[in-house]
Amino acid sequence: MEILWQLFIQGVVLSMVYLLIASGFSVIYGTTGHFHISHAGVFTLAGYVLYLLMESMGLPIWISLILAIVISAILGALIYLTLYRAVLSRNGTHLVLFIASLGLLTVIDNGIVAIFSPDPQTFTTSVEFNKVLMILGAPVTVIQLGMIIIGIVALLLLYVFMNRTKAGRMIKAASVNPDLSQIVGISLKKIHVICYAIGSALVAIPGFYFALDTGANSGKGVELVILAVMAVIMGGIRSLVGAWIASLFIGMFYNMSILWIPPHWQTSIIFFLFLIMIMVRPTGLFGQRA
Amino acid sequence: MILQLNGISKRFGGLQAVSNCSFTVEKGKVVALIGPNGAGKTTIFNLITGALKPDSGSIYFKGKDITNVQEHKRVHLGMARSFQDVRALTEMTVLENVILACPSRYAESPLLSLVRPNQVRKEESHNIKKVFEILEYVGLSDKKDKLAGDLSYAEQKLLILARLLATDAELLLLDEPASGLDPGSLRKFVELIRDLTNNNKTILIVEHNVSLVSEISDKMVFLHHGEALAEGKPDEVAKNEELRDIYFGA
Amino acid sequence: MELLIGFAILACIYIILASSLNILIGYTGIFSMAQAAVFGVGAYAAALLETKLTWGFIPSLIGAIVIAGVISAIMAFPSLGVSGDYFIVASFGLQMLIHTLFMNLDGLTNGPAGVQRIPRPEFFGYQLNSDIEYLILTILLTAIVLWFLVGISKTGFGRVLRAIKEDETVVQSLGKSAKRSKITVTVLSGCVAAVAGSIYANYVTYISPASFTIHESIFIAQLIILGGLGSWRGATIGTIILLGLPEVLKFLPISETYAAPLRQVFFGLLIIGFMILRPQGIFGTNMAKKIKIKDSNITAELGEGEKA
Ligand SMILES: Nc1ncnc2c1ncn2[C@@H]1O[C@H](COP(=O)(O)OP(=O)(O)OP(=O)(O)O)[C@@H](O)[C@H]1O
Ligand SMILES: [Mg+2]
Repeated sequence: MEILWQLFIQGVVLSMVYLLIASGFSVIYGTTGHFHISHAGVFTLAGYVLYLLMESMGLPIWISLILAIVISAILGALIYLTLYRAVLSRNGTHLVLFIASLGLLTVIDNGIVAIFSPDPQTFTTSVEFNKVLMILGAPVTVIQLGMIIIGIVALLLLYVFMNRTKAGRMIKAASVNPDLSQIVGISLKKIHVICYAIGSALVAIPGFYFALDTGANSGKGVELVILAVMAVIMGGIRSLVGAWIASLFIGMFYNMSILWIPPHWQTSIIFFLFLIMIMVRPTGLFGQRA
Repeated sequence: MILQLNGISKRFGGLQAVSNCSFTVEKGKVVALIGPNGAGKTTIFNLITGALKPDSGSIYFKGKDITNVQEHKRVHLGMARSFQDVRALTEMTVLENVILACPSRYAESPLLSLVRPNQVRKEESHNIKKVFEILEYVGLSDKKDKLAGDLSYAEQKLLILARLLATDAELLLLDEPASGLDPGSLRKFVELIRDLTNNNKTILIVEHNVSLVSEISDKMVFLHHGEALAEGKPDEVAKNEELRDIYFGA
Repeated sequence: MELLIGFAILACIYIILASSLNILIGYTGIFSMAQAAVFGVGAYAAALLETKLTWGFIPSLIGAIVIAGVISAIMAFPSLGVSGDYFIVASFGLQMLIHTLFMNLDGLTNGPAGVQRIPRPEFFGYQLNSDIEYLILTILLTAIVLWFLVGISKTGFGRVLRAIKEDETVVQSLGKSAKRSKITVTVLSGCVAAVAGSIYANYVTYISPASFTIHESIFIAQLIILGGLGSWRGATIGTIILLGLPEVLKFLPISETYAAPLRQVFFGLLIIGFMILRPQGIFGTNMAKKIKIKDSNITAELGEGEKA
């Protein structure tokens, strides 16, 4: 029973990682249609930004976190404003944009290695945040708890923003019918910038978690992002709630299935399930059918 | 009778695009399928060719039940369709566009083209000769090495016709083949259609130009909300006041 | 000199890989990000046949080609029904699935440690121990593969592939099974990648999952995109240029720990520059138009669930 509870708690932690990455990707992809694989690069950069703020500049963690989120959001918006717009303005297609995005990811991941070495950059000031708390017998580090709380707040804010504010409704309208929005006078460029900023802020949070937990490191983002994108597809493109449910499933499955399946098989099974699903229901579990 | 639809229905989500539709196409005749926008004409084409599967009903082609035959195999049985949005392969030459449509046993199989190079050569040269004749027939001979994308709109429509002829199909399904043509091309087109029926081809045509279809068709099927409301001689259907009102949205 | 021979062998391997993707992405428009996985299947198959069953080089090569072909056929299925971005994700998924299999099928692949002591090829009792001899064999195989692929691309089959890339619906409407052609070309591409895998395994004599990661898949795709999709000159000369250029960094006074990632950075910047200024790559022609994902394809994709 206790082991079940421990696995559940670890499942919640991992689910939150996927939830945040997937939500970020979903906000961007659902509105712009851009396959922003450099989402993985922003994930990595976020960890290093936090490292620089805390370790090199010695700022306290709260200020560093807030600054790093803002910087990540700006980075995401800048990627769109500079690179993607340059590609698209020259009649580049979405596929060309994807390839450029892959190129950028290569630059980010390897640029970081060239600057910081391939070794993880561990935080010296974060010892206290690695302290283990017990929640009904399940060990949770302060960092994990922090990420869950910040993550829940961020997702609630996202939900409220998308459904209750004018800007959010505009984004939704633009994602369903971009041409119409333009006629109504909503600037698509502005909406896209907002989406990139929000999406990048969201992906930064698990980026901080990984950095604080095991040290800032490069090259880990792609696989996480691909899994999160699978969650987005499984949930149904443009269905934020669908992406959440699928993320929860992936995170929980990784941990809970350890009881029955040897631990290193989880990834294979997830991929396998995804491929089966894409065969039988390409529109996702919660996507509308055409 | 070459084609027979028996109570075909097709639903898209909440929309009944085709509902319990039945009609027949006689061999060697030109049958026109008319009806307002969104009546379900293109959907019926998709059902006949197998691009879509009907929810209910059956389709007979040359006496054979083809309701469950795969799309590409129906072409082998002798039917071919054009698309409303033209769809020439713009990055390929006119010649390639048409050769692609020729039935092929050897040239398009990577294995056979390795082990039977002579057969491949024979087949290709036979096909090229055939394609030259077809291009001559539709009047595109001098454009054969041009990219299809560089042709004018009217020329692209002729290319599509050439492509259909290359399939050797007896039943040609033409989806608005004359739309957007200038009067000169239109004349030429009407002549081609006439000539084709004299050459043993059967034609099912979707066309918005009622006077044009009245002129060339032997029978007209009027479609509305996916239902075949009327079927009969072109002038009868075209003159029916009720249908005219539906058609012109009165 | 030794450096040059090593470079030449590696260049040949990448030329084969780039060519195997050229027929897939460049000709058919199947944007696969799983080529490193197929490459790995070929390498593992050859290595295991040689070490576990002590087959000779040529039988193992043929075995590897067959095995990679079969696995490619299986891999083709899930991704056939989807197109566009979904296909890219599905192929990423396949890449990662197969990578986890390399890692986890301990009994077969020996897990993360990989397969060691793969022998150099031996012909009639004569073993190709020197790199220069191995290079000659490699060039020979590369030439055969290229002759085969270029030949195939010029046949009626190649024509069908190009048509599929432009408009699958039209191909289908003209009586050709687009599905069958796509499976066939995926298998062909897998068989070719297996040749590269076999050459690689016998050259380095030690393989591990680390060589067949998602990053490697991305790298191979970037090679052919930069060289020019649909262009055989791009797959060959383009690959040599692209592999050669960053080697220049070797002559700068930078330690290898920095040079390796810097080479990649350089490569990524090249990609970005090309995508902005010349998306068709070095030798490609007008690819921007060709790789456009058309609205009509998207409609077709949405209607997929309804298809017969
Ligand atoms: N794949 C599809 N998914 C959902 N709805 C569809 C699909 N194809 C067609 N429809 C809908 O079915 C209805 C009939 O469409 P169809 O294209 O058959 O009309 P049509 O008679 O050819 O019209 P037009 O004269 O404009 O070409 C339309 O409302 C259309 O929006
Ligand atoms: Mg129509």
